[in-house]
Amino acid sequence: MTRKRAYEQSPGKGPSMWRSLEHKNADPEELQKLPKEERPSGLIADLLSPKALVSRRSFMQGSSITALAAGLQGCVRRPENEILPYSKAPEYLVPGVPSHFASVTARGRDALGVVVTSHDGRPTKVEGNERHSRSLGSTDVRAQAYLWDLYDPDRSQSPARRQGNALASVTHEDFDKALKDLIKKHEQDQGAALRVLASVTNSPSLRRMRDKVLAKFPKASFHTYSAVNDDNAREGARIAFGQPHAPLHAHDRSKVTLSLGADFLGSEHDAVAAGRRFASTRQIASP
Amino acid sequence: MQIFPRELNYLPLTLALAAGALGVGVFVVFWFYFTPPNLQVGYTPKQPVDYSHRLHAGELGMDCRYCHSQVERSHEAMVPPTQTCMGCHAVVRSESELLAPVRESWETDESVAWIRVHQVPDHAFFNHSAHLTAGVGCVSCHGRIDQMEVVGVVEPIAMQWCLECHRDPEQHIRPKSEVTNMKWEADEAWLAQRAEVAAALNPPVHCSGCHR
Repeated sequence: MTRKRAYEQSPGKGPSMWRSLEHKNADPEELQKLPKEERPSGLIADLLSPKALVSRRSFMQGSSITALAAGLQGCVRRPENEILPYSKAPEYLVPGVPSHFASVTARGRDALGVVVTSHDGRPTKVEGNERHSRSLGSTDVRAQAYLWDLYDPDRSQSPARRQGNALASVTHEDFDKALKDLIKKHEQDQGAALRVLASVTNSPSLRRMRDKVLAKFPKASFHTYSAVNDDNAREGARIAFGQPHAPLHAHDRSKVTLSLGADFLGSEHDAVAAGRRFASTRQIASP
Repeated sequence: MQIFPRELNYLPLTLALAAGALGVGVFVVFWFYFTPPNLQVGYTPKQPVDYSHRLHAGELGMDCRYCHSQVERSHEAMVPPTQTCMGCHAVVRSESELLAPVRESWETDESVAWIRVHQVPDHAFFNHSAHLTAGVGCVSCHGRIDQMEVVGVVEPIAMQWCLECHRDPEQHIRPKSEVTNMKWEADEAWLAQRAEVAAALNPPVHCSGCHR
């Protein structure tokens, strides 16, 4: 007699086993037990059973979380930050430390000395220049807004040629060629037909350029125009003094200033320095 | 009729416990592991040029300030312009394949796109020149750069770490002549005067010292 197997000795107590479906399905009682076997201890216990926890799926989840956590160690920097140094650095440029440049802006026949602060090659602030006689360290609203001019998207980036009512960008080579043609054309009659229209300015550089042009084209002439001008004041000075002098008021030496419609601290010639001189005489009774 | 098994009565409780445990777990994970010692230290990005600090600063013994020339004047240590590399490499190893990106930058005027390694967050103000003036050596924050083939982060760039030194700078300062010396060790003469030098430093420990 062969020895009985465990499940055969006490049927129903040990785990049920079978060799084939035929063997299993032979007993209808076994079929009855089936639903209970599939969920032996209920839903919750089943979910938390070790068998479910080490299932293929949860193992993959667990190991991928571990891999992610390991990957986080020391390599999370998104997005990567780039440092872009110059290829050829400008002289005296110290990254992170602003540089200051003294400059002068022309305003008709007047000028205003300014100091421009520049961070890493980009101008960031315009202030007055203490050592410039027209500024004395001050600026006005227009000078404060000069910075916007520098970043004006409408500022021309290249030479342009008029086409109808619009401007078409051209290259510097085109400009040079057009200029050479123009020179050749006017050389024949010493510039008798050449007229240059410029804005009103006191700039020594422009004056030097004008003199050079006039030396080459003696019969050419320069004209200036400005929508806002001091022609009447100049004419008045010519009548009074014989020459078109511009007055420079010493407000720091006046006790009482009477202005007859002159905005001498706001928009007129030399107003920035005039304001400074005017204010220097103020006596504050109690600070 | 009973549709759901009886055990489902425990489901809300189980879910609540699981959600609570998950919340605490996420909090703990972020609190302990999403911190600079874990996120910063070891960050070693691949650079566009295989530049070796070990070779240049270590073997050849070049001073840090040959390339990071404005570190004593600016809040930035600055990565040198391509010009600085070409100062030597126009002549030295001028045909090397490794230097191809540098030569390209020199010819095209485009920057070499170096990857930032040490990053102080935008909300904190940091000034290299102030630290060098105080006598904090490069090695204190950047580690033994002269032994690194590729530069990585060795110290956690975190507030706690900054404050450790700001509260008691004595252990971390050195004579100003030795700030770029990676191998420097305190000698008797320095130990004798160190406390006095540290006492005069008075580094800021209030919020607006760095968070301006």
